[in-house]
Amino acid sequence: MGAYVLRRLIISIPVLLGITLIGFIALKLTPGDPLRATVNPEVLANLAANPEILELERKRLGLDQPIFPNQYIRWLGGVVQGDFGYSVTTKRSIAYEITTRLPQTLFLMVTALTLAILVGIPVGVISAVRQYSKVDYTLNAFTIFLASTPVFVLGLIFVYFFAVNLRILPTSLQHSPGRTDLLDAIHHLILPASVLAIVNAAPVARYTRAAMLDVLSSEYVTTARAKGLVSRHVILRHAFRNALIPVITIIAWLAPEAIAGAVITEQIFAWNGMGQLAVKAAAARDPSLMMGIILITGVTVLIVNIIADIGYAVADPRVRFVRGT
Amino acid sequence: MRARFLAILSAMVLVVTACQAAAPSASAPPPESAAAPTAAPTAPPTAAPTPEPTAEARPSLLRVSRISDFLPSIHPVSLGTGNQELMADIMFSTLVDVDSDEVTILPDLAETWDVTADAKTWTFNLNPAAVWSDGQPVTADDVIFTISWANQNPTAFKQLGVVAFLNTAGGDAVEGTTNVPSGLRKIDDHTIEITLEVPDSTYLRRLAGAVYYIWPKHVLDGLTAAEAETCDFCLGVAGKTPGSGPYDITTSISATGAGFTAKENYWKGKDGPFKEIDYRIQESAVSVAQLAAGELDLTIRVPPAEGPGLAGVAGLKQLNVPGVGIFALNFNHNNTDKAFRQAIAYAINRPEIIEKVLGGLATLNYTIPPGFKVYDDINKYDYDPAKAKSLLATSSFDASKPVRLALLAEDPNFTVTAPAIQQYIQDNLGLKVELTALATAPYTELLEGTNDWDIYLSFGGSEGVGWYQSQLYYSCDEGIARLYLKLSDDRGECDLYDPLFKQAATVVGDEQDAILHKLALLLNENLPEIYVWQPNYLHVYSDRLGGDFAIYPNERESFQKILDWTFAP
Repeated sequence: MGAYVLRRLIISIPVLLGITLIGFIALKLTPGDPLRATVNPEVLANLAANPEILELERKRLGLDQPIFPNQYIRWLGGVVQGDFGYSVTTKRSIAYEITTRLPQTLFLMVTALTLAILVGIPVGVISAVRQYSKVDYTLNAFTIFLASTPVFVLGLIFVYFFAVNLRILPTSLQHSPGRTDLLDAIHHLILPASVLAIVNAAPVARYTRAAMLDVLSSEYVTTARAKGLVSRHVILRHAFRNALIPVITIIAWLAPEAIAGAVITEQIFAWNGMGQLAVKAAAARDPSLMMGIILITGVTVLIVNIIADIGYAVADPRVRFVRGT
Repeated sequence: MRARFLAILSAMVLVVTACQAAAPSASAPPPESAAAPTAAPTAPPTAAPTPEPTAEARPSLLRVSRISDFLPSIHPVSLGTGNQELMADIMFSTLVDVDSDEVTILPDLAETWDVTADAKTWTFNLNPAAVWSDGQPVTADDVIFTISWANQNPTAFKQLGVVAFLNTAGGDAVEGTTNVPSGLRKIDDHTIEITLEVPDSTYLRRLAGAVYYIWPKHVLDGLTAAEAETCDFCLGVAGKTPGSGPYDITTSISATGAGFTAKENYWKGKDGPFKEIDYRIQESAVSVAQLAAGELDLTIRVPPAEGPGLAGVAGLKQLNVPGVGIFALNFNHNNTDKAFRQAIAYAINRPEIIEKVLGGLATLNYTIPPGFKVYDDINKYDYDPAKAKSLLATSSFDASKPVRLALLAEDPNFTVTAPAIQQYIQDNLGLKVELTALATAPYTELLEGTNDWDIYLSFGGSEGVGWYQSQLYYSCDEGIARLYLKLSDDRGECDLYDPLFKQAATVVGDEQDAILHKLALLLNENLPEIYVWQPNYLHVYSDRLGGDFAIYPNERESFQKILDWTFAP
């Protein structure tokens, strides 16, 4: 398995390069000068009144070079050496901008996805096992309702009900002023994590139900039941394990999606994570910052996919890490 | 299983909530009391001393947000937003302060000052008690260092200009050097004499602006222009940014705000009324939710539409006041002439837009900058469609072409009013108006890099503070007029206004008023841009705030008087 993971990692390198190259060129081709997006119109006027300063600033940022290969190679060379460049908006290093926010997003995302799996899978299994029962209809209606509810609607309802009305949870932020303890962090995590968890639990439940129904109608399940195995064993040891592959796929799909989904959630709850950073970078057309975010997102997608591949093999021993497959 | 999970989740929520309640939380809701809108507290602070809260009674924390732009830095080269200025107000000191009337000059670092009859040589006597956060005394050397650095690196200031500092005699000669301008003279450790290049009767008022705060020489000596954007002090790193104001930064400045702690035994003899200030930069919807949940004590610039919803929240008061910013129609002078601009002024029913679109929450302007008096002979351009049409007929504007009206897409000040403006121009002048709503970057590209626009909507600034605040918009030296109004030397527009502004600054009284009158009439006739209205701002605050607490029309000055605020426990 070690060789397989190493091979996947090596294959990921050109994929990652492709992602960054496309992102880099796309960003450069977008209308709007990143230098101009960093300052207000009055400042721009002053800069433009002094073209030599404007030009010096442009040179300093390497914006006078051709996009490819010069600017891209310059950027890539920096990344390889751990230098992701500087944000032209905040004047801080990209590494600083990302490392101060990534842990916040991971804290939110991992919690939310864990909750989504803990809720979604049992709901899907119960729904499948009791197909066409009242429980199934109720859970189905509930998951469809949640899957079709935009995250911002759910977020605002939660804020209004739990924070504004009941005042039992904070409306936003990651911690109270002056406090950095875990208890306070959890207190602030509950609302955004719950919203993300609920929204993500719905598709997990739907996929789990579909996969379970497929497996439950298989001949080997019928055989197991005919042999007199306890129903719980048939469901959990035989059916559920085989139903896990599509479930793993949807979870692997949701993991990077949660970063994107967190854009809205982070805005609603003023969560100072990657989502807010992405919004600010896009609005300001901050090229180095946007490239940093693209890189992080690309790496996340690739890592999650590798983990998912490993998960397939764990769930189903028939999947082997054979050379050439 | 589901029921068990929900039970566990509920239990977790209750446990954490219970623990929060038991912990010494700073976000406890304010005491229950009826909310009542109050009149604008625009009266200047009284001389009577405000009661100092006892150590036990002094609340620990002020939670504040101001809804507007922000750049996460604090050095004046990058100071360009009101949020930065408010933070600078509590961290640093200027030579002098200004009262809420925007006219009366008050001491700050300088206890007293003197000026020669020609308004050219100013002597400042610094308060010998003034010290930096690290205990070093504030001396004349710090003042000389600050003003010298500005003159040595004038192009480093990429946000707000420091024209008052640059008006130092001999300033031009030291650009690019490390020399001290000849106009700066240290008399002793606490006395400095500043000779100006050109007399300026508005000098003290300008020096009261946050961008003119005095810097610690012992920290920034040797700083280059490039370093001024990235040094620890410049970025507002906690522990690396000593100031002479009542608060020290204790949570470094970031895109989401900063945290401040009151100095003990502050050199002005009175400590800040809050032990800590949590200054938040966040979306307006987040602030509104926090206000409703009792998690904020003060929000400056709440969207007016939120006022009714927040009116019922216990413990909150509302303050609805005109701001000093201005909404304007700015013209591309390459594509428009005076007759066209006048036609536009007559074609738009400004009072009706204020009433019906803005809900009456704005003050009507009569085309000239709001810092000017409305002289009796000013043409108010009252709504007159017939006159508008006849003026259009005499203009050089090609009526077969559409009027291209540009606006910033993400700003409600524009998106709400632009359709009404479009409708009036179309209905009354028979012109097709194309609205182009863009994000900041392409918007700036369009205005600065092309001629493919005729009018754009602008909002902001502080022109309402005084006539001198408008000078840079009509000075081709500054570049702004050349770019955004497309004023041109070829059309002789560059010499029309700026000389009068400069002349007015050299005199006072009736002589100055006569020049300003002439200038106002000129602007009123030519309409290089049309100032239409000053929107109100809604500020929402805890009823625990008292004393001399006020958010002034020029809210950038409000925190300068924080020592006189009180906060009931």
